[in-house]
Amino acid sequence: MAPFQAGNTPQLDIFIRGLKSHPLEASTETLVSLLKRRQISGSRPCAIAAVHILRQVVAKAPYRDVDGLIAKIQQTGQRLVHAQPHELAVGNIVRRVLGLIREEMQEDRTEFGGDSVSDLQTLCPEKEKETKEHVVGLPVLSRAPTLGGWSHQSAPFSIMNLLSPDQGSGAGSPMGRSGTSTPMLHGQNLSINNLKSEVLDGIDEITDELEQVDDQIAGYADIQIHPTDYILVHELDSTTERFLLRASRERRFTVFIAQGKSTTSKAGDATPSLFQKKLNSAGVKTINISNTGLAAYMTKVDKVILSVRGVTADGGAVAESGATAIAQAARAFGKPVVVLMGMYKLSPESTPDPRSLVEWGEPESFVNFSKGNMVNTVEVEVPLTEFVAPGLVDTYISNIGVHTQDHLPSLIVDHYNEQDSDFVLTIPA
Amino acid sequence: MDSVLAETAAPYSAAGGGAGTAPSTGQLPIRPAPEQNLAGTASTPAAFDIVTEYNNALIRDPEVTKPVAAIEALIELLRQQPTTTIQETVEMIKTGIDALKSSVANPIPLQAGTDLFQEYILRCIKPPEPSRKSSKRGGGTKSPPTSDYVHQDFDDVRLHLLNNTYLFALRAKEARVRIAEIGSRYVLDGRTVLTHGGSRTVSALLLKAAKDRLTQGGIMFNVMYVESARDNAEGGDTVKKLREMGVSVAIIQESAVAYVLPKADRVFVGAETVCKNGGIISRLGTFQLATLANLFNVPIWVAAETHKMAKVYPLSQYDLNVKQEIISFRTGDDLVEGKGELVNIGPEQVRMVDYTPPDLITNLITEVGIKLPSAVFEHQRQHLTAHGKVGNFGEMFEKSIRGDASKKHRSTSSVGTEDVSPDFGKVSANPDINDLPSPVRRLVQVPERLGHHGRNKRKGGRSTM
Repeated sequence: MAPFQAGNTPQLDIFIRGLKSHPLEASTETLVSLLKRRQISGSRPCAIAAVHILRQVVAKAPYRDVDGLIAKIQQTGQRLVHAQPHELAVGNIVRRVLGLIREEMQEDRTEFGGDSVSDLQTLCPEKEKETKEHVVGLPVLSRAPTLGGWSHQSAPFSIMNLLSPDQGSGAGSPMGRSGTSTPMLHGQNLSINNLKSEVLDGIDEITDELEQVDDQIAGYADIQIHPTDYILVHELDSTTERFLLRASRERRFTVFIAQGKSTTSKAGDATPSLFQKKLNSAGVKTINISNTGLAAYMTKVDKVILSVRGVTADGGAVAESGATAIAQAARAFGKPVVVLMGMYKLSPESTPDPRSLVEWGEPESFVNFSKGNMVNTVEVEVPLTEFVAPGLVDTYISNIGVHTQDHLPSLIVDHYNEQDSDFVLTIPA
Repeated sequence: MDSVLAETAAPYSAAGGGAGTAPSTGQLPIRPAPEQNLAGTASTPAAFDIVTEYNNALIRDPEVTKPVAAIEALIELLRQQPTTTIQETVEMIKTGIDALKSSVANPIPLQAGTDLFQEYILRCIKPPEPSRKSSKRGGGTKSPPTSDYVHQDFDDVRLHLLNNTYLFALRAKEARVRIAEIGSRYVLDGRTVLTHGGSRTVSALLLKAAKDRLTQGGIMFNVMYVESARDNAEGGDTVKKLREMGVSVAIIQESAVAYVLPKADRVFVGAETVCKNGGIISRLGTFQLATLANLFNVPIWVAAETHKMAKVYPLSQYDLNVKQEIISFRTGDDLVEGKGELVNIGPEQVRMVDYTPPDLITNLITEVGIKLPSAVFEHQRQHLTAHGKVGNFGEMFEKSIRGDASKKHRSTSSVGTEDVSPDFGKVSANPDINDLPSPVRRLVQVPERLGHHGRNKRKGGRSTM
């Protein structure tokens, strides 16, 4: 486990520094292997690494049009996701970048299109006129009505798509009335450089966001934590730490630290004490409690704070193992469970099988090879993470606010493009 | 109406028999060449019955859903009764919808389709909007639209609708295929799923999941198929097909649901209507199944196309506005054999429905992905206008003409300039039409978001697709 991400891990720093000097392909390879070997781990370092490599793709990779760029991002994105499928943040970042490109693309296109500017342009009367010609000659349904008809991806179907004229019928259609194919290509070439710089700006914004995310979340600390509160924390990562430290400036409260994971026997003991020291020096009383005796303390606890590795679209949280037990105990005692998540942790996908998100660790701390007769006869499963069911979490605190489960869909709509939700499964052209 | 009732006796033979009662209303499943459509408008039969058309649409293609059938019927109405003014068209559509709604016991599924249709028409009859982008670019403004222009476009809209009737049904079916693709991923290897009733969407989903395992390998899943004694013919076909594909299917009595539920890993149900709040209106028994599933912590997944989302917001079971007699107290005096069991109106044997509130539903499977029940509202806000009441189409149109609608503002600052609508002041030959202050655009606009935006500097929401 990587409890503290104060600053970047050395591996990540080396990787970022090397980006400029190495060719793109080499950097990508490096990152893939770093992810595979868990040398970059934890959702934030992974997200930072992903942002950096995608920025390089946009800046360096050869592409002639938006389609090419999207395909490139998708390819790189898929490699990253496959390298570390448990880290939802990687896929989220790729989707953010894809969404960014699509947004810029649409803005560009509407600027060139001139007439058909409204957001509802697919329904715009002048489009009707245009499409009519296509319609007369038996419209082909198989042409996916995509965003602007530029992308190869399967399009999001919307309610209105049921009735709207066949979109993407012919290259000219996105251009509105004046749409012959020649001006479009011309416009597109012109705009690709604009688009590139716009996208790079957007990616830089994401990078900024990743840097500020802990601070922003900590901004909600004194609203959430009240004087004399008893807070139960579980996972000790930088977000939680920052959150509690910020609260300690104005509040006097007590922190229960749930421990007792024998899986992390090696380095695990040192980190909580370091964390404790920081809290203690900030004037916060800390009490270590064992995971097994947790429910006994639950009556005393006012709030449970979980820091998570990722949140699925339906609000399920991937947290370090032991979190479900805590969340269930909290539910049983009617205590609120608060999840701290940066927006980059919120995935637009929900998972078909929660078990697939669980990361399994080595069972050596329970059964090692010295106990020879156990080997091959006993199956020991050691989950490092687990999936906290959506219903068990009451509040989600992200860098942009405090949300409930019902609020997540609109957050997802704001941050991602529907088309990209399953980019991992689509094969880029 | 009488003729319709007569047909109900033998629904599946009615496709042929019905031809006599509704002469030349175009009963062919697929429209012939476009020219003929235009010719068809000339020889309008005196009595066009939209209800008959709706029922025929349901009969001639058993795969078609009620919302789509309603849309088809409305398009047929447009074809049969050519109108000259927009006002007239709006009135005609409104009456048509009212007739349709009053003809069935449960108008809600149909209403999803008519809402959609109204929405589409309304969006299309708005004048082309002076673009905010063009004003941003400075000086790129196009010449103001003339009244002819607007009207011309409406003709195009009409033509588009008339020529593509079959396309909508096709798209609706595509949506079902897509749901099957998405949803089948959620049927896990070797697990047991429980389903209920004869939902075509769920059947497609399960069949796809089975097919995937046949072609790509994987451990076959098991299905528990809940069937009530009343309509056990419904799922028979699906059960047979599933079994042929190697899926073990257990038929479960409705009364045994509580007994078997702990053995199920997931419940899949279909829906007739998805309500605004994410709850569903589905065949009787779904509510009870969902309640039990929640009791046993079995996730319940609803497979439904987005065109089934209707602007209804039931407050309780008894707020559905559906003609069904589920509770009928009787005494010994008035015991009449068989009464109060089923109401027969139209060719559909009205299935009784109940309302499942959103908190019992884990997720919805739509053709645009897996959605939380609470996402339905978001989806509707994006794609349908915000006019609250159902069926105030005419009122909304009036408003749009008078310009009341322009009072709604968009919060995003980038659009702020646009709020004082430039096209508002322009009056030309036909003020009625030209003064349309881009009605729907405004109504669609999102109210103040709850104090946050996705990216601070960028535009908050995503654009409507």
